[in-house]
Amino acid sequence: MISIALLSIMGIAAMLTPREQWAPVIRGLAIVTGLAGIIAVQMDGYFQVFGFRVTQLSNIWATVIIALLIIFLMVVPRSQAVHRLRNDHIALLLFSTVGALILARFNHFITLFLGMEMVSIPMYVLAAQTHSRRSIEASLKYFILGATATSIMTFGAALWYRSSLSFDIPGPVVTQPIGLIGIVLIICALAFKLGLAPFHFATPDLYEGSPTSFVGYMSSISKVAAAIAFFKVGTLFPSDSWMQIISIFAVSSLVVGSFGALRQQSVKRLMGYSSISQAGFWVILMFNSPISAYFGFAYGLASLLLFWVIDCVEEKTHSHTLTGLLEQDTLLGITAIISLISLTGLPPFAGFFGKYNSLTVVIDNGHWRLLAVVLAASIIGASYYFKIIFQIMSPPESSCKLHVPFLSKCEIIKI
Amino acid sequence: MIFLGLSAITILSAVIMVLSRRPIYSIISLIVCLYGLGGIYLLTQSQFLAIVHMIVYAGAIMVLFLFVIMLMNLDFPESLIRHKGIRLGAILTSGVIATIIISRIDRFAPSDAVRQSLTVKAIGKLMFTQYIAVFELSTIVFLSATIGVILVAGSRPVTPR
Repeated sequence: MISIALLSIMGIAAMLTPREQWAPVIRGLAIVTGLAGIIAVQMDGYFQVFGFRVTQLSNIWATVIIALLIIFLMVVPRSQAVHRLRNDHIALLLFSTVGALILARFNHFITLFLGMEMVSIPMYVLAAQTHSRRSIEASLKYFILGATATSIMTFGAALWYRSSLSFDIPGPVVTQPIGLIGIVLIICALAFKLGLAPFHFATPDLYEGSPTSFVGYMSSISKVAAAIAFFKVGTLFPSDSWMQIISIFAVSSLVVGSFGALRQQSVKRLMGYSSISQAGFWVILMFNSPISAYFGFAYGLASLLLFWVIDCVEEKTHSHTLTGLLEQDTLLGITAIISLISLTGLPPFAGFFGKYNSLTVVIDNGHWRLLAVVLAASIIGASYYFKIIFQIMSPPESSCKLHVPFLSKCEIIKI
Repeated sequence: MIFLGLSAITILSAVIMVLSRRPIYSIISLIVCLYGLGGIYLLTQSQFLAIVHMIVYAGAIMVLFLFVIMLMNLDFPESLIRHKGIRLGAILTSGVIATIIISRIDRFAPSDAVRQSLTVKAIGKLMFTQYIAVFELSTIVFLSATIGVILVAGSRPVTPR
């Protein structure tokens, strides 16, 4: 709870800072607050107040979230980027992270609702920040669909309350049909936030239109937050029907994400589809929560770094093509290749263990048809990730040399 | 008797809202519908819900809608429903929801304990004791929404592309 308070106060302080020139200072302060937040999370004992329940698992999730925030603040929002980084942006990022921390610890519907809104509202705003047509279109689509998802979630909660007379999550398992309808509605809303397949239509537009530096945030921290909520609400189902729902979501996400990504030319749009397919891998892990927290960190880190690279390239060349990046700037190229290999799930990097574990979960539960889809999706995934890697390694079209400040190179080495 | 009258007004104005072709008429009948709903809430002794419903929805949001439509001059009398599919989807969805509610209509009556907790006093007490952390954190949601409005509407594009 101290970490939540710390980050909120820092966000309010960032909002109230009048001078735009102080943005780097505010950013440094926010990073320090994040570190203090991690320490506070570690020192939190396991306790329970109304609406919040702190367990070992929720502390793991909270640490993952704050660690991703610190890395994000260290590399991604660049003050010289296409849109200027303002104090208000940092404040919104901090508020959104507070929402994610609430979602890591909720045990009541009211805190689920609050955390969900707190994560989403800053996202709607940050998506519109380049003020271009695409950006505003992405923001508006996300806003309208997100508001619809929230109202569907609330309606579902009303039906669920009717049958179980309690708002506790994880609470008693729901078996009455009316309660099941309610939980399914809540799950659908959360699946939209996570970008799972039948509810994925806004995701590629959002990734393409939003400012690149903030897409890194959307694809990491807000996804982690939505995943936690998804996993926790899932415990209200009887476990066999929950496994069926998970397989439906996983299969459709893997198919839509993989085949959608194959056809894309723009890297940002491709990453949008790949995030759908990664969410498919992620939901398979839901029975093994520490591993899914690990998957969230690996996936979040890889996509954060990849979007940082795209942002650096965009700042210099005003396009998203990564062709010839390795020759122009070795460090950026290597970072991009490492994150792409990690997303593919090849052994030396973090993403491998996540994918390995989702395969073992499928095999242990004996879902052979799901296994076939998962394997096919990983192979297709490898093909489109390696397409980008080959682009990066190919010789450059133009000879303009990318220049990246030394400071940010140091930052990336630290990671 | 009062309940029947209120429900008749509510349902009638809701139907008018959906069917009328001019947005202004739709909004005004929606306001009437919301007031009817507020009256029904009063009948079930949930005063706080009724008052909030009338002030926030009928008072603030609907007037905002009216202002937007009048300022933007959006009042052209044409149907916004161009696809047949939307109409079909709307009928299907409301049919499903109606079936759910009607099939359980006898069980929707609140128990006495719930009814006790619906007064203004009980809600205020709960909000500042049990729900205090949630209440304080919800201010952050409103704060971020406020910052968002200023950021989206108040600043000009830096590099128009």
